[in-house]
Amino acid sequence: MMTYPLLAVIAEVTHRCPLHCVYCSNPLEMKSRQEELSTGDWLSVFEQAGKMGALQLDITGGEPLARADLTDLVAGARKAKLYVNLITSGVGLNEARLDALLEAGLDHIQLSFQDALEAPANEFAGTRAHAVKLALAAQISSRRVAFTMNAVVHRANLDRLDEIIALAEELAPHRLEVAHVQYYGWAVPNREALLPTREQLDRSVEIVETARRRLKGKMRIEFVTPDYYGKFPKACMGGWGRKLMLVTPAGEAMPCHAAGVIPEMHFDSVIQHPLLWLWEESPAFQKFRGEHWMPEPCRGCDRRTLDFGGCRCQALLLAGDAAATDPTCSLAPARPVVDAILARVNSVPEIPAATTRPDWVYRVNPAN
Amino acid sequence: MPPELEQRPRLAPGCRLSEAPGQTATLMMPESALQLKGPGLKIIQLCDGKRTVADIVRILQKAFPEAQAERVQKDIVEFLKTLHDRRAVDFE
Repeated sequence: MMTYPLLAVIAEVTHRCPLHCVYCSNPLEMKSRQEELSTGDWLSVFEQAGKMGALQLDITGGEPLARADLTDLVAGARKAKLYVNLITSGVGLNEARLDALLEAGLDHIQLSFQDALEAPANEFAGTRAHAVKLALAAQISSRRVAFTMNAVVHRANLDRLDEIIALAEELAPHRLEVAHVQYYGWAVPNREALLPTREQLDRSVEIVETARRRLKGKMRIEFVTPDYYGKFPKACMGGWGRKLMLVTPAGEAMPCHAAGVIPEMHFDSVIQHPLLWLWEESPAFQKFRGEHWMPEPCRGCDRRTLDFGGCRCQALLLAGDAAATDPTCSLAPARPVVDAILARVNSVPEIPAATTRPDWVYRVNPAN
Repeated sequence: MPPELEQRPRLAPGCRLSEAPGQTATLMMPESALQLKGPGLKIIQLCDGKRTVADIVRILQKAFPEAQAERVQKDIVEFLKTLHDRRAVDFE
């Protein structure tokens, strides 16, 4: 058996969140506060990950700030020699808490934005969070910590990409991530209101390219395009069980954020098993690791070592079979499913601003 | 932009060498990491916001006396420019 080095752990420390974003990647069925791992459980995960040679830790959620022990988690992760990223909406942060997190060794803060304008930003988040984020961005910028602004873009805000980039220049993060929505979790029921038209997408590519040239050395711009419009699928998680492990709030070790959608898959827990066993031997990580599971056309395709057949969860969501070639691949037997969605989306005229509102399905919070 | 010789390079916030055992030649950055080889590690260790580019060039020229002096300077400036474009190094 070939072993792969674990490079990073994604710790979803809670599913609780004050925001209700219409494209949240969390699963539709969430873990309650009662089920969440304890501080000690998480510290043990970080320590084991560090010993296994992992370099990075993403602390995410839900909203990680919903946990009162976040500072202890950051300190424990640094003690385990990990590089610590915090992925946050910012809601629940203030200057004192920010300073405590930095004191504990936090390396990088990624703050999410839903739009450049307050009203639509609050609409997509289902709550009034935009003004809070603006104030926080200034506090983060004035401290010595890596700062990324993450802007999620889609059909209903892509026409304001210029304004989003202008806002980033004002807030002065080191990095700007312009991330097209990925269609998992809550984004699936909202898909047709979120998928951009091809024309919108092409414009966004141009705008990002121009801004990249202009801002070189000042602000790094990362760009995530929607894979529905791609020719080949994304190398989801760098390949199943090849680089990354996600741990859910309740401690299940998963190879991908959305793996919970795959029926009949069992995810073993960090409470019952050592991380090394979960990574190297647990059935969930073995299931689609390597090439043994691949169907045609992946099996004989030169790109199988680049994209590993795409995303297993997306294959399940779109083709009804987790072992199918990712239907976003132009060579996939199920590609017509994606093409039909794109045809529908491109036949509807762009939403005239502020006249019609889609019937958003908002993310709800887990029960206590 | 390439740095001027009198500028003082310093690792940007959130950019640091890994503390993990056996990984201390890995430059950690937000969402990425860079394996440093030979002189790369040395240069990074000298990016302390106090030494100038010219200082770093002198130190490396001394450390690699067999290398062509102008070549050493050109390589260091190029390396720092690349890291600056990645937002890993600031010039002060």
